[in-house]
Amino acid sequence: MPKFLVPTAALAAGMFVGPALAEEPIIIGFATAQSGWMAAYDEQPVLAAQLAIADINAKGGLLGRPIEFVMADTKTDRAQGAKAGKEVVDKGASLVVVSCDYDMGSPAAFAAEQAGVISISLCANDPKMGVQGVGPHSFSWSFAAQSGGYALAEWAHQQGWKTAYSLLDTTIEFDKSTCAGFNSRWKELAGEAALIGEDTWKNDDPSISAQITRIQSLPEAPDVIMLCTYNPGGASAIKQLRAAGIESALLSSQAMDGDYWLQAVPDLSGFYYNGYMSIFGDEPDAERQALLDRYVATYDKAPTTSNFITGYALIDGYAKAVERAGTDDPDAVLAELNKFKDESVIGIPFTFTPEMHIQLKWPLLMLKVENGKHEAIEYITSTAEPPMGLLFPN
Amino acid sequence: MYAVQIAVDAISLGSLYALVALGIGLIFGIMRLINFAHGDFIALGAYALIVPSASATTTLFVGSWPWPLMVATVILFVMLVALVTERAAFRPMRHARPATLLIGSFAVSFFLQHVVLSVYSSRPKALSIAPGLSEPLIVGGIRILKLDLVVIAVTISLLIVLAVFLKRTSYGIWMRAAAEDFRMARVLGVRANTVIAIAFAISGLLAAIVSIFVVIKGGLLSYRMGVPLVLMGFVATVIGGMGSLVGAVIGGYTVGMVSVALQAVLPTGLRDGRDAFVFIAVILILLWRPGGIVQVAALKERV
Repeated sequence: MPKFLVPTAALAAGMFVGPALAEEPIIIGFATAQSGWMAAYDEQPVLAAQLAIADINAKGGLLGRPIEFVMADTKTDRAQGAKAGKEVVDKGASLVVVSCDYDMGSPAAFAAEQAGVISISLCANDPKMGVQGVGPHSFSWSFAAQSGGYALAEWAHQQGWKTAYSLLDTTIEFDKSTCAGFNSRWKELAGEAALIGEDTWKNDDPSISAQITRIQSLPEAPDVIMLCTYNPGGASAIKQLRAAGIESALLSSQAMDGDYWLQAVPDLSGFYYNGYMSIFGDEPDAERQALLDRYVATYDKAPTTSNFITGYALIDGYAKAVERAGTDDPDAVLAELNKFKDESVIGIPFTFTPEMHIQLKWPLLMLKVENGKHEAIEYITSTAEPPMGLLFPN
Repeated sequence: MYAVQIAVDAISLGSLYALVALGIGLIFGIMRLINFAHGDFIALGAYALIVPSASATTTLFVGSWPWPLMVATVILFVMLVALVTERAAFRPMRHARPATLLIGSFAVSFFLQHVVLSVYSSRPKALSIAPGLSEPLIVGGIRILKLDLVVIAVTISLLIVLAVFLKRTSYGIWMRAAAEDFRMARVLGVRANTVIAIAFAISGLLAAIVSIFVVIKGGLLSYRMGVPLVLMGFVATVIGGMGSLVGAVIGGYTVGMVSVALQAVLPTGLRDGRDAFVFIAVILILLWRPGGIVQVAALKERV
């Protein structure tokens, strides 16, 4: 070989190896649902997370390294979810983002845990999505459903409502946890007798006439009916309640966010619920409204529900921990995450301990629907935390 | 008062289940096929009311038309779906064993659900049809929803019309002959294709009526909305007596009324498991009458 080629080859090799090491990307894996029924609920937080990644890259990356993301479809199937988790881990992910639900997201989270990689659920409200239900590297970037119930009970009490009736849709765990939190906190604040009745139904029941009859047989109509449910059964129940002439205030959780279901109950009034923020143009917090505007500008469509912001907050929070650790090594980042105490991420305080990887307090926006239109009322953060026995009843 | 109110609720839900059970029973009687896709016929009828789209907001399509035209269109559409399903999916399987037919109907059901899922997405669609029917009539201290009265009235009328059709018209006689002994009926000149097509068409008509009632009551569509209905309808045909149309109706009313009664009567702690109690009742009925409440001679085992 000609003499000058050897140093040239060495220089060329150096050019390839040198910069590549300095700019090795940080890889975030999205093992979320892109098809199947869960896709409708994962899609928007994932888009917000990708927006956060783009924002960080525009500012020079994380630790000077670009963030790349890889996606694997769980297809709303638990077995496929495990495969998706493994797939993104094999592609070098140091963070695995999983679905907004414990049952659907935990298989991918387990796959990450087995590889010692951090997994964070977009918005699962089940405390099991964390240390107790998956493992020490697992988190959920949202609040416990029981805490949501606590906040709703405190707000309801502040409204001066004296009597409450609890109507629980027993189909999924989220609602059972929300009502468990609400019932417990309501009785603490308003007295045992202030919960004047309870009833249950299943989301796909074609009719709740019997439940309505029971409410109408009460000696006095309740001031507020707590509806622990989700759609389609939730909107269907509200339609039937109002059609039967029940005028009590109706209270629910972020599962009833969005105005897409209002078409089933035209001119609905007296409906209250908590959201992560207002997507209806009247958000009180400027930073969150700005985030909503940027989401709409980037994706040319408005989000259907407010939980999209958890995706953005997830990436932001993770980036903070990586910066403090100085590396994306999962155990070092985990140590930093576990030190979070009222750490502000997009204006929301996050606290983690080695035993608790979900929030027990969250600034929730109370909204109401009046004459078929959504209106933001005020932010509320619950003043008490649910006990471990309520968070992990089994 | 409470008891009378609950009775009205029970009869209304029973009517809905009776219509579903009848749709399943008609096809079972002739083809020995348990059509699990019947629930998806109901879902498709409901989805026909809106413009096909995956967007979160719903735009009314057939649902915005004057009600006679809307009802007629939904009926014709579901009948068409039923006939196409029969021609494309069930006719090739006609001579298969009952187990194969059952799996086949699951496959059709799965397919139809996923067609709806891919076109409309999994987010439920909201719409409001005939809001006037959701208002209550107050009769002597009892609130009766106008819709409940319409459901009961329409069900009874349909049953009468169907009974007349089966007893008095030649097609009806053909169908009853085919249900009793298909082979013999064919030997005697009854056209298999015609009879089966009519059964699917009537089944489609019944599914369409149920879908309209379900939408007026609940206002929400989801791709799996037919599943609980077909499940209860199937249970109703089993306890009512498979192969008997009268049995299907009795079974439907039984399941509906037991379900509402249990919801009203069970104490708070047990109400969660209402469906478990409904199925305990089903088991007890089957222990008492293993062949169903109305036994069909053709299906009795000959020793």
